Amino acid sequence: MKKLLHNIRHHISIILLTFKMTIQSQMEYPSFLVGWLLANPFQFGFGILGIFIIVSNFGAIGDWGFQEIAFLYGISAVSHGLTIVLFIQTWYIESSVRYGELDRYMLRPLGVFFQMIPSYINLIGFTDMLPGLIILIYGCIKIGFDASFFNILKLIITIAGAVLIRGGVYLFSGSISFYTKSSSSLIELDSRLFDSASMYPVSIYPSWIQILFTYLFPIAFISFYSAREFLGKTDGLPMFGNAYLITFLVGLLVFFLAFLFFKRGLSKYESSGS
Amino acid sequence: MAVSIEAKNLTKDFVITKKEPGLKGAFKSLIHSEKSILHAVNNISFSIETGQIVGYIGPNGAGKSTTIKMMSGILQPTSGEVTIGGLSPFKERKKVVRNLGVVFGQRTQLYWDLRLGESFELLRRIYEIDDDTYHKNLTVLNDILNIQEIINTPVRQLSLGQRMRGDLAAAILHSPPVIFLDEPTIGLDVDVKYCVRQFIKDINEQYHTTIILTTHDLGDIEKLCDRIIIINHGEIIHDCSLETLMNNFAPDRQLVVDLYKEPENSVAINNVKIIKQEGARLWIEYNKKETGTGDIIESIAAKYPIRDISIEESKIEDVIRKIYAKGEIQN
Ligand SMILES: Nc1ncnc2c1ncn2[C@@H]1O[C@H](COP(=O)(O)OP(=O)(O)O)[C@@H](O)[C@H]1O
Ligand SMILES: [Mg+2]
Repeated sequence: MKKLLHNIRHHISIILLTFKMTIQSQMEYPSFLVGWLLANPFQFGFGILGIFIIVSNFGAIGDWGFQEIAFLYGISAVSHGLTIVLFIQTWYIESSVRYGELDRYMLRPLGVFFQMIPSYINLIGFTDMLPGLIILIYGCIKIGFDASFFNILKLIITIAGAVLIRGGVYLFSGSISFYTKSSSSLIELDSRLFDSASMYPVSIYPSWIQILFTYLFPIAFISFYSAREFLGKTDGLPMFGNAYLITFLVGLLVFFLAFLFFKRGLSKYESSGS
Repeated sequence: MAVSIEAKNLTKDFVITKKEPGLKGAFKSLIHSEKSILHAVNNISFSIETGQIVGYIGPNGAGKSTTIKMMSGILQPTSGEVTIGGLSPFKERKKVVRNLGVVFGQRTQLYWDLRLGESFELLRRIYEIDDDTYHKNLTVLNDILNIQEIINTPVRQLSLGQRMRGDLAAAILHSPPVIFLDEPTIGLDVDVKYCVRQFIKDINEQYHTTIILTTHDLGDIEKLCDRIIIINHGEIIHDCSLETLMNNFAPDRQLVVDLYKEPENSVAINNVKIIKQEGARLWIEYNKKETGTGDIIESIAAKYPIRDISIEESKIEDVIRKIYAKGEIQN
C-alpha cells in the first residue's frame, strides 16, 4: 500500500516535471505556436462554414438544423482537440518502432506506455481545442442548453468518453506497427472516419453503416448518441440507457482493449538493426 | 554491489522477410513472402565478474548490438538466457535497468527537446536520485567530461562530441554498477576520444563498475580492456585477454637491423631467420617467446658491426583483421 502510494506520487511528479519542461521547450519556438493558433481556427471555421452552406442550400441535414449540428460538431471538435493534447504520441508509435526509438524508453525503470503516452502532454493541442470550444458554446447557447450542474457533468463525461474512443482507436492503429512496422496510413484513415462519423449526425447514413459505426467500430459514440439525447431527438438506431454513460463505458472498453493490444505488441518489439 | 553478468546459450534470431522489387513483388509478398531466419546471436555463453572492463568486438553485423540489447532488456532472447545480478533483464526489466547505464554511440538516449541539464533533472526524478548523490555525481562528471560547459544547451544543438559527453554523463548519473557502451567513440575526434577513455577508466577505478564496451577502435581496447570477447556471425570465436590473443596469433616479432657497412653478399647466420635484406638493412623475424632478442643481436654483432636496431611488434589491427578473415573462410 505504501509502495503503491509512493509509486503513484513518483509517476505524478514525473508527469508534472515533464509538463513543465514541455511548456518551456515549446515556448522556445513561439512561431510554431502562433502558426497553429492561426491555422486551426481556420480549419474549424471552414468546417463549420461547409455545414452552414449545405444546410442553407438544402435545408437541414436529416432533420438536424444548423444550430443542432453546431452543437454536435462542437462535442466532436473539443474531443478531437483533447485527444491531440493527451494522445498525440500514438501517432508516432510507428516511427518509434521502425527506428528503434522505443529502446530509450525500455532503458528507463518506468513503463513504456507511461513514458510514451501520459508523460507527454502536447500543449499545441490546446489550439486545436479552442475553436471547437467556441463552436460548442455557440451551439449550446443556440439550442438553449440548460447549463445545470448535472448537464455540464453529463457533457464532460460524454467528451471524456469520446476522447477515450478516439485515443483508443489511435492507440490500436499505432500498435499495429509492432506487427507490421507500418500504420501511418491507418491513422489517417481513422481521422477521416472520425470526422465523417462525428461531425454530422450518423443517422444520415444507411442503417448498415450506422450499425457498423455503433457496434463494430463504435465511433458514432464520439458525438452522435449523446448529442441526440441532449437534443431529445430519436432518429438513428435505438439506444437503451443513458447515452453519455454508454459513451463513457464504450470509451473505457475501446481504450482498454487497445492498451492490451499495445502491451502484446510491445512484447514482440525487435528494436532495429543499427 | 556485486553484480555479475551471465550468458548461457544466448540466442537471438530475426525473421527476415525477403522483399522483391516493384509492384509485382509487393503483390507477391502479400500472398506469400519468403522468410529466412537470421541468427544474429547464436548460442553464446560468457560470464563477467564485477569490475571487469570487457571489450566486445567483431566486424559490422557480428551481433554486438543485439547482444547488448538483450542484456539491457530491450530484446527478448529467442532461446538461452542472460542474467544480470541473477535477474533476467527482459522479464524484470524495470528492476534490472535501475542498475544499468547504457550508451549507444549511434543514437542518443537524451531528450531531444530538452536542455542537457533538464534531461539530467528528469533522470534524477525518474531514478529518484537523492540530492547528495546527484550533486556528487555531477561534480565528478564535470571534472572528467566538462559538463558545465554544455549543460544549458538544448540537446538537439550539441555537436557529436558534446552529445557523447552528455550521454555518458546521463548514463551514470544514477551510479549504476554495470555499464554497457555500444561504440561510444564512433566518429569522435582525438580529444573527445581521449576524454571518453579517461572517463571509462576513472569510473571503473573509482566505483569498481563493470563495463562492457563495443568498439571498432582498437586503441580503446588496448588502453582499457582487461579482456576481449570477439564475436563473428553471432558466435564467440575468442574470449581471452589481449595479451593472450597477441601471443597466440602474433607470436612473431620483427627486428630491423642497420649495419655500418653493406655486406658484400647475402647474410646468413645460424638460427637467425632473415626475411629481407636491402642495402645495409636486415629484417629478421623471430618468435619472442622462444628466442631472446639479445641472442640474435649478439650473433649478428659477432660477424657484422651494428649501427642501429629497432623492434616492431605486430599490430593489433593486423591480428584482428587476420582473425576476422579466418571467420569469413570458415563460413
Ligand atoms: N531489429 C532487427 N531486425 C532484423 N535484423 C536485425 C535487427 N537488428 C539487427 N539485425 C541484424 O542482425 C545482425 C547483427 O546486428 P548487430 O547486432 O546490430 O551487429 P553489430 O552491432 O555487431 O554490428 C545484422 O545482420 C543485422 O542486420
Ligand atoms: Mg552495432
